[in-house]
Amino acid sequence: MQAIILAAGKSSRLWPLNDCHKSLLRIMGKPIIGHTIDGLLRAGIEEIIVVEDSKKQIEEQLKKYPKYKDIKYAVQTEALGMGDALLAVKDLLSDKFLVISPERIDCEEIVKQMLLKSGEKNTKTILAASKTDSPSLFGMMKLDGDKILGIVEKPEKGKEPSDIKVVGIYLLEKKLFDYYQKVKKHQYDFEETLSLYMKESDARMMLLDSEGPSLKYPWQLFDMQKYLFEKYLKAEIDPSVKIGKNINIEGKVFIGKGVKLFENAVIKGPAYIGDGTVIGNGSIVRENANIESNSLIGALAEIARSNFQENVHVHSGYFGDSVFGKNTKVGAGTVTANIRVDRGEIFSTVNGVKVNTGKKSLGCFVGENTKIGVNCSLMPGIFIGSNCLIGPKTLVSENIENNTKYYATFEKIIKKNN
Amino acid sequence: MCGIFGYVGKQNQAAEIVLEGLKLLEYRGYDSWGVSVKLDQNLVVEKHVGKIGDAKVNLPDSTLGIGHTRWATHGGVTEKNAHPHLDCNKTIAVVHNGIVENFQELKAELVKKGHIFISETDTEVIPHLIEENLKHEGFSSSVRDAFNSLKGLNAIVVADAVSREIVAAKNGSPLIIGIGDGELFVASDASAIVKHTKEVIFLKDNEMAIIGKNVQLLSLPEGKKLEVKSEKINWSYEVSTKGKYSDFMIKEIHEQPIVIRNIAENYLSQIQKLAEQIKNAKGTFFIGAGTAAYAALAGTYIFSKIAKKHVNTSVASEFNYLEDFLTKDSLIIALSQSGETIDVVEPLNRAKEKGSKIFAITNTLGSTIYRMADYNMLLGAGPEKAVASTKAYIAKVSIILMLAYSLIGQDEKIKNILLQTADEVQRLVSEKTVDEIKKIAKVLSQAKNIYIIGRGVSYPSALEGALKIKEVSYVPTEGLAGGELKHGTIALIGKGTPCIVFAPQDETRESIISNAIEIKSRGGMIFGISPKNEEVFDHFIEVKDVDSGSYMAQIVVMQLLAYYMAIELGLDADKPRNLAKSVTVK
Repeated sequence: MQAIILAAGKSSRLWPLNDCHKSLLRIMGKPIIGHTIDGLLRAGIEEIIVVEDSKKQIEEQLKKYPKYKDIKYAVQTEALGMGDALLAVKDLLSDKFLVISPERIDCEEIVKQMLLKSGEKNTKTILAASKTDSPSLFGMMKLDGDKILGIVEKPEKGKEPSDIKVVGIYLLEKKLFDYYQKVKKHQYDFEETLSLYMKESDARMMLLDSEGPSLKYPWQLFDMQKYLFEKYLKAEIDPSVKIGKNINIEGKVFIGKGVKLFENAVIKGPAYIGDGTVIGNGSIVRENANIESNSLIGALAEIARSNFQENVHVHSGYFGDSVFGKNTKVGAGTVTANIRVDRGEIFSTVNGVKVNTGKKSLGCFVGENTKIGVNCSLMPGIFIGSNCLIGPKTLVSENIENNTKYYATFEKIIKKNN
Repeated sequence: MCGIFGYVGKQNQAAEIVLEGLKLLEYRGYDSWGVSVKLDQNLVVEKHVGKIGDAKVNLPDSTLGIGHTRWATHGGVTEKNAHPHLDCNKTIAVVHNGIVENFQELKAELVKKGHIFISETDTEVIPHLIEENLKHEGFSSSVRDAFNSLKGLNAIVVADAVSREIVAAKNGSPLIIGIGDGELFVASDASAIVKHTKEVIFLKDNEMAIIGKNVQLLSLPEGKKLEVKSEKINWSYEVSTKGKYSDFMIKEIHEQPIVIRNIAENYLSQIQKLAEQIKNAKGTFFIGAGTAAYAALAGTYIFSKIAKKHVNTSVASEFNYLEDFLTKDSLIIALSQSGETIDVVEPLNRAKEKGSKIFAITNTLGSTIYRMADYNMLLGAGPEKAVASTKAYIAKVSIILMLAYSLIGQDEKIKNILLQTADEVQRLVSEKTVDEIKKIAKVLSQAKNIYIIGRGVSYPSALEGALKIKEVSYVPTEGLAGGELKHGTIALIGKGTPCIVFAPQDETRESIISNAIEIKSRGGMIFGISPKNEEVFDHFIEVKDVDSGSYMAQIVVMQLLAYYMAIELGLDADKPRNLAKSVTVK
C-alpha cells in the first residue's frame, strides 16, 4: 500500500513555532513527521510520498535518517488545498492510496484497521471519522449506516447531516481524479470532489474511538509529546553518557550519546535528553521534559513539562510548560511564569485573537534564534517570535513579533559618592 | 542466604529446568522453595515448605520461569513466605536474596496505595514497588527504580510475564548469568548453570542485567548501558553432583587428595607473590568465620613454628572490635569458602577504609570478598555443597603451609610434604580405614558429650574436629588445648567419657600423652589419633607421620568420624538443621 503525506500547508495559528513546517518540530530526537512515518511503516505501508512546499525543508531533514531513504517527495508550489496537493503527485499514485497528514502520530492502529476494513468488503474508499460537539467547524458526513452519502462543509446550525466529522485520514482510489476534473477549483474542491464521487461509488466511514493529538495551537505540542512519551519513550542511557557524582535518575528516562550530567543533577522521567546535551550541576529535568540534541542546561536550572528544540542554551532559572525554538539562548536568572497569580485559566493571543488555552499551567513559547537576557520574567501564555532580542531584566507580558528588539529601560539610577 | 535460579529460552519446560537448578543450589538454604512460570500474560506459582529433595512441580509448560530455595530471615517458614512473591496483577514475580532494611516504610506506603500483601516477608515489597512504577514506565526501569529504593545488600531476580523478560539486579549476594544456545540462565552459583552452558557473566555489584532475547547490562543506580563481556568456566558439571556418593559431604571428603595435589603442583608462583606481601606488611592478620577461623588459627601456629613469623588471628565477627590499630601497611588475609560471609565482608570494608591491603583466599570466583580484595587466591577446591566444610578447610591449610615454607625458601620441601599428605589422605578414605572409623563412629554417636584435645598446631585441629561433630551429628563436643584441661574442664570427665587425643610425631607428643593419662585416670575413654599406638589409648586410629601435613591428615579422620556419626544417627549430613552454607546475614 502507498501513503501520501500532505505536508505543504501553512500553519499561522502555530506561530511562533512555524518557522519551518510544523511537522518538523522535534520530539524524542526526530521531527513529528518521522513519528508518523514510523507508524505507517509499522502498519505495513510500503511506499511513502511526502508532498511538501517549495522550500523542501522536510526532504532536507528526513534525508538525514537512513531509515527514510526510500521516501519519495513531490512539491506543491502554492497552498491551494488538498485537491491541488494530490494533483502534484498524480503521476506517482497507485490505484489505491492512503492520504494522511504529517502530524498523525497515532496512525498505526488507524491505518491497520482501515486496511483490514478495506480488505474485508473490497471497499475502495474509506474515510476515518469521529464524533464532534461542534459540527459548524468541520466537514460533516451524511450517512446511511457506515456508507457515506455526502460531505457538508461547516454546516449551519440546524442543518448538520450527523454528528460525525471527517478526520483527515483517507483511503482513496485513483478514479477520484475523474471527478476532480469536473469540479471548479477552490479551497474545498477536494471535499466537493468526494461528494460527487460518493454519489456513484461506494465510500465508507470508519469511526475512531478518540481523536488523537492534533497540532493547531502551540500548546498542543505538549499533548503530542505526552502521547509519544507514553507510547514510545524507552528508558535507555547510552554507554557514552558521562555521569557525575550523586546523579539521581528515576523513571522512564532516555539519555542519548555523549550527554554529560554534572554533579547532583536530577532527571525524573518521563524525560528525553538528546545527543550531546549537557546538564549542569544541580539542575533538575523532570516530568515530560524533552530536550533535543546539543542543548546546554547550565547549573541550577529546573525544567518541567517543556520542549527544548536543538541547541537551546539556558542557565539557572525555572522553565515550566514552555517551548524554546532551536538555537535560542537564555541568560541566567530568567524565569517562565507558568501559573497565573490568581490560578485562573491562561489566555494566549493567536493571530490577534485572545484564545482560552484551557490550561491553568502554561509557560511561554519562543521561536528560533531568539536571545533573552539575564533575569527576564516571561509571563504565562505569551509568544516571543524568532530572531528577537529581549534585554536584561525585562518583564514580557505580551506577544513579541519576529525580529523585534524588546527591552526595558531603567530611568532612574542613583549613584552617590560618599 | 538463598538459592536463585531463572530460565528464559526456547525450551518449554522452564519449571523443570528451574527446579533442577534449585536442587543444585539447595545447599544455600532449604527451609522452603517455590517456582513461578509464565502462563500467557500472567505468572503462576507453586510453593512448598521443606527441602526440595526429589520433588516434582505441577506447573504448565512455559519458556520462562524463576525459582528460589529459601533460608528464612524475615517471616517464618511457611508456604506464604516462600518465594517467588507476586504483585497484585500477578504479572511480576520476584525472588530475592538479602534483607530489605527499609521494608516496613516501603510496605506502609504501598499499603496506603492499596496494594495487598500476602506474606510477612521483606521481599514482597519489591513486586509491589515494581507494579507501582510500571504505571508510568517500562519493565526494566521499573525494576531499577524499585531496586534503588531498597536499603541493604540485596540480589533480586524479577520475571515479567508481559515483556517476557527477567531482570537481575544486585548489590550484595552473587548472581551469575549463563548464556546458552537460544536460552539464558541466572543463578546464585555457577555450579547450577554449568550443566547448560559454560559461558557466563558474573554480575558485579551495582549492575543490572535484562535477560530476554539477549543479555543487556546496565549500571546502577542510573541504568546506563554497559558492555557485555562473558567468561568461560573451565570445570564441568560432574563436580557439582553427588555422582556415586550418597551425600555431598562424603564426596567432598574423598575429593581432598585431588585438592591437595592441585595446590602442591600449581600454586607456587601465586604463593610466592602472597609471601612477598606478607614480608612487606607491617602486621598481618588472618580472619575467617567458623571452619575458616580454625584454619586461620592453624595459620598462626604454622607461621610461628615454620616461618618464625608472628601472624595475628581473629574470628572475623570479632575483628571489628580488634582492628582499631590497622594502618595502610596492614595486610588482612581473609579466608572464606563462599566469599560471601557477611561477618568477613564487614571488617574488610572497615579495613579498606583505613587503607589496609586485603588478600582474599576464597573458593568462589567473582564473589563479594573476591571483588573487594586487592589480591586474590582461589582455593581451587571445586564447589563445596555440604554445609559442613571439609575440602575447603584442607585447601586453606595447604595454602597456609605452602606460604609458611615459602617464606623460608623451602618451596620444594612443602611440595613433597603435600604430595605425601595427599597419599596419606587417600589411604585414610580407603574402605579399609573407613571400616575402622565407622566402628568408632558407632561408639561415639552414643556419647552424651565428647572432648578433643591437641597442642600446638593440633589445638586448632581439636577445635575444627569438635566443630565437625557438632555440625553434623549434633553431639555436644568440646575442643581444648591439651594443657587447658586441668584448669577446669577435667571436672566433666567421668567413667567412659570419650576423649579424642591428637598425638602427632612432633614436639607436643610427650605432653599430650601425659594429658591423656590424666583423663584416663579419671575414667575417660581415650581415642588416640597418632602415627603410633600408645598404652593409654583405648582406641587407636593410625595417621602416618607426613611431617606438617599430619595436621591435615588428622582432620580428615575427624571429618570421617563426624560424617559416619551422622549416618549412624540417621541425620542428613549435607544439610544440618539451623545452618546455611554461606552466611550472608549478621
